[in-house]
Amino acid sequence: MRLAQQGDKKAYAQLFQEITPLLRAFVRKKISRAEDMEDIVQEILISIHRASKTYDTARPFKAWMFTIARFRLNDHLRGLYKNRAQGAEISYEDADHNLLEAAHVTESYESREYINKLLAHLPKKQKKIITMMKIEGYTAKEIATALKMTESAVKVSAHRAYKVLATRAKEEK
Amino acid sequence: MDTDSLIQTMVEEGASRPLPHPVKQTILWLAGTGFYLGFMGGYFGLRPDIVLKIDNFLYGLEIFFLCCMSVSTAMAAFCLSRPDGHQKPWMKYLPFGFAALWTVTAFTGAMDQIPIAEIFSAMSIAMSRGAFDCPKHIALFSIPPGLAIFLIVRLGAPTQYLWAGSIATWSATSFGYLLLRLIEQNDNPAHLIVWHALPIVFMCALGMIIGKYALRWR
Repeated sequence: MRLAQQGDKKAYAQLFQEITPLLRAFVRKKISRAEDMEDIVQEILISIHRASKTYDTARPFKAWMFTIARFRLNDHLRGLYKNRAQGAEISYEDADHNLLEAAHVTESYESREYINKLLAHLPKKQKKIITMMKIEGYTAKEIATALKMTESAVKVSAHRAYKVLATRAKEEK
Repeated sequence: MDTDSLIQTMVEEGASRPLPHPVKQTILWLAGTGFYLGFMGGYFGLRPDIVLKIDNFLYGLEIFFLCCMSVSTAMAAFCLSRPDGHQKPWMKYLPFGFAALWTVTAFTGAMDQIPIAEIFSAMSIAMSRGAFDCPKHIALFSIPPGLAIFLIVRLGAPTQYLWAGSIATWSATSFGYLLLRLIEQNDNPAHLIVWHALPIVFMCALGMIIGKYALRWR
């Protein structure tokens, strides 16, 4: 890090290459989902990069690095528990992820019948929500007003529907 | 973006140049604060009996411990601007030691004025007098150094932002207290507790809240 602070980019790259496995091992102890784990490792790496000015070369590097890693990991876990405490069964990232998966499926088949077939597996209300949201382009707020539901209930319902659709799509493949 | 590409991007940006050492930051901040407080002291004028008071051993000791408390809080705040607290976890507790010594000294000095048993009734009398000028002056003396210390702490990456906020406020307000002790000719312990010390405690709690929003490293 001392060399990196003096502008040595090779040393900086080597530092990152060496600490990434350590950080992965550190995060793996708390996070089991592989994609979450890599996201957190990246967040930690960015934090280390942004905080590089605060490192005093006279002090041990690992203690500094793991403090940042712990802070970012706790931040992530705090956000996760907060979402759960607020009753949100899903995170927006999850919803987006599943949505992308579903979008990918629709792109690959490019068939409206196929989508209709998938939607047929959904309960009536979920089918309505997905149709309004993804085909007709309404926002969750507008759907909530139209169906006399709360906005969060619409989002939760949509997320459940995405899950069913993704599962069905995988089965059909 | 995969991790290797991210590393490549960050390497291209390069590491930032290190911040000055916390001791250096403390010295710079103390110089600025000293200049400001010197100016304010000159403007308001020191208490008329300052020469006599300085000769009083306990008063001198009280001022000395106040200085130690203020300097140690500044040092602790700058250490807390590092994510790892500059690897000196004891630093943030050091001001409490000086605060305890200062409290003992101040109480010992005040015992000849009011018996300890009557301190609470004296405090309620002091409260009813409503000397709002004192906390106002403490705030006036503390706000510019407080803003400066918050800005400097923000340059770092404080992970203990609540601590950093309250300790930074404590540092600025204790200098305000110190100057007020040199300006105001009132040694009534009940007045000092109610209108000097308690507002500082309140301001530190406020500093903690401000720290949560202004200092939190994202």
